[in-house]
Order: sequence, then structure tokens, then C-alpha cells
Amino acid sequence: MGCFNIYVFNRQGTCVYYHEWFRPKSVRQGAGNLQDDQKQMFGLFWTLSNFCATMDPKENVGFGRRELILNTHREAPDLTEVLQALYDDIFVEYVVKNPLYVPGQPFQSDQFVNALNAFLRQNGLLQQQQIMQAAV
Amino acid sequence: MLRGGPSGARNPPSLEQINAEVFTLTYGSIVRQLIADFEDIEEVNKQLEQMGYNMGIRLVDEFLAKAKISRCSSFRDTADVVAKQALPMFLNVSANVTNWSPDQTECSLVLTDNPLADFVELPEEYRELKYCNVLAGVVRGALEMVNMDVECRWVSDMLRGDDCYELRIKLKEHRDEKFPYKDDD
Amino acid sequence: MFHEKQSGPAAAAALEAVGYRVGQQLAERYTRDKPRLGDALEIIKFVCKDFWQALFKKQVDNLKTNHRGVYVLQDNGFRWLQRLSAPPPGSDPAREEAARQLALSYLHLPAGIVRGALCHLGVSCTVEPDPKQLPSCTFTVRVM
Repeated sequence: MGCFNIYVFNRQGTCVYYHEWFRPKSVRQGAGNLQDDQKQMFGLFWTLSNFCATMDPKENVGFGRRELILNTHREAPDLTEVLQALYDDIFVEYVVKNPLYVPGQPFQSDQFVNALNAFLRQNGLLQQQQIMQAAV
Repeated sequence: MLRGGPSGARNPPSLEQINAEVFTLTYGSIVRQLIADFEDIEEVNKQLEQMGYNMGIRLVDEFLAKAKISRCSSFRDTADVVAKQALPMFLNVSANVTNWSPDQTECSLVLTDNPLADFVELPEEYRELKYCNVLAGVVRGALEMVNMDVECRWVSDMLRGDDCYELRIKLKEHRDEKFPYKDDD
Repeated sequence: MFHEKQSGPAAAAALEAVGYRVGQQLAERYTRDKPRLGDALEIIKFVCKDFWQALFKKQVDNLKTNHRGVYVLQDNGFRWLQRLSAPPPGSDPAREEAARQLALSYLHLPAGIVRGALCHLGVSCTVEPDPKQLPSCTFTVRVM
């Protein structure tokens, strides 16, 4: 049980970070290439959120969006808080505060990757062998 | 998808703080250095604003992560959040929001206390210097990241003898989010 | 929390100058209620302890000297470098060098602060920063 992969999108819908731990079915069998895969994922969530906004009886003006999508095993519990913490404690701390980060641009940071792995493991979403697998 | 919603029992992440004197003195020293380097007050004002903008587009994420606010539904709410939550968080002062224009697109943030300007006196020859212009940039940068294009300018400045600091904020455009890809993309 | 300045060859000097003034002012403020400090070693110790504590919320981890006017101040977790991501050990030397240069550019300001404080307290010196293994770094003080 654990996570499969993670997407981070910027406000323009570009995927600025992607990492996969475990992907049983290769991208080639789905969207074809990773770029299209990311675009489709963004489209799916865009539609979902628009749908929710339309259903919402209150008149809300949206915030600027940053989207983190974490695909997990279907037996995983409700991860609302985990995702919130992922943004608050990991993304903001290790990506936004890295002086090299240019907002909205793809980034690479070993500190972020390490913190992300540690955080997911701590929440029981990542087993050691998964990390090993991803590293191979 | 993450928005600054309430998040149950998690401990709020702590905000790292810097010694206020170090902050104030360093800002003062940077301003002096800019004056020495550019020798043109207008250019210094522009540089300070740009530096602030670069901070603002990053600070907004820090703010959303730490502040636990629900969504802002209007420019009016947003101005309140800046005055009552963001300024206290980053500058340890709060501001009043006043002087709304009738169409609700322009308002003023009024500060009577401003740590940026502690220890500062503005000599006569630098009267045109907008000493705190970095703040105008921060507000512009941060709001741009939540889809509000604003224009900020200082209309009163205690360093120039006014009785408060007044930052005028004008909402130019409230952008809707558009789907970034074309259909045939 | 962090300040940005345009980069370029002049930026290092400008940042050093910014720091120097801040260091002088801070040294003045923090020694206000203290008895006069004696020799260079005592002044350097003050910078390592009280001054570092006020600035970075910790003290210098290690102070070495050759007793001939060179002091090496080592901080094993320098606050202003905490969020720079270091390349993993054993990675490509070019990448390590790039990371080192980048970290160095963040040390001109604190090096200036240290030099400003020391000069203000009567120790004229040069201060050379060196990021060793992020986030640790050293400041080498050479008394003139």
C-alpha cells in the first residue's frame, strides 16, 4: 500500500515536478508520453474543480491555484490533511524557500526529494522497497 | 488541490523569525547601497519595487501555508487579509483599510508604525526617495499570484512628514482562471 | 527573510558593503551595556557567542586560531544556507563547484557583517567566507 506518483502543477497548468515511485502500467500504454499524461491529468482535475465550483451554491472567486496530485493506493485513508501538510511543510519549506526556485518554473531539489520521501514514509504511504525500486 | 483551508488538528508550522534590528538595519543598508550604485532616486525606487515583487511572488506561498485562511471572495476581503494577517505575519504590524473608492476597486492601507523605517531619517536631498517601496512591490507580487493585478503607490510617508504611511492599492484586473490548453492541443 | 540583488561581479562587493555597515551598527548596539572588550581574541569570542546568537540564534560551533592573527569560525548549520539544496556526495565535480559558487554568493553579506562588527570593535581584518559542506561554512578572519 502506498503512493504511485506525484504531480505538481503551476498556475499555467505546466507540470513543474513529477516523480513516480511505482507505476505498474507504463505511460506508453496510456497517454503515450509523459507530457500528454501530465496534460491529461491536469485536464481531469481542472474539469473536476470547475464542476465543483459550478455546483457550489455560494459565489466564490477562486484563489490562484497550485495543484498537487498524489496518486495513492485505493486503500489509503483520507489524505486531505496529508496533502495540506505536504504543501505547508514540504513544498513551501524546501522548494519555495530554496533561493534557486523561480516561482512557476520546474525545479529540482534533493532536499525536497529527501523530505518528501521521509514525509510519505512517516505517513505510512511509502515502503522502503518502493524507494529502492524507484532508484533503480 | 490545495487551498488555504482549515486543517484540523495539525500543529501550525512555525514561522522562522529574524532579529528585527538586523532586518531593519540590513534594509537600510541595502537602500543606501542602491543609492550609491544608481545615483538616481527614481531608479532606486524602481529597484526597491522590483525587489519587493520578487519577494511577494514567493512570500504568498509561505503565507497561504501558514495563515490557514479560507478563500477570499473579493478584493475587499483580500485587502483585509493583507492588512490584518499578512502584514502582522511578516512585518509584525497591522494596517487599517480605508478610503475605498465607490466602485470598490481602490483602497488604502494605512500604517502608523513601520519597522522598515525604524532609525531612519530622510535627508532633504532624498525627498523623492520612496523608502518603503519594497512593500509596494511585495503587495503587487503577492496579489498577482492570486490572480489580482494591482498597482501600488505611496501617497503618504511619515519619513516625509506625513502623519501616517498610506499605500494606495488599485485593482486593475481580477483575472479569471482560463484553461491553459487549447482543445486541439 | 531573504534579499535579492541583481547578480554580477559588482554584486559581491555591494553585498559586502551592505553587510559591513550593518555589522558596524549592530556591534555598536550589542556592546552598549558591556564593559570594554580587551584583545582581539576576546573580541572574536564575543562575535562567536553573543553576536552570533543575536544574528543566527546559535553560537559558532568551532573556533580555531594559529595564534598569529588567523581565526577560523566554523558554523555547522549556517542559518542563511539552510534551504540551499546540496548535491549528493560523490556527484559530478562541476555540479559541486556550481553549488559551492552559489552558496558563496550568499555568504558575502554575512562576511561583511562579521568584518563590520570586528572592525568596529577595533580588530581590522579581512573575512573570507567558504561554504564547505552545505549547510556548514567557515569564515576565515585575518587580522591586519
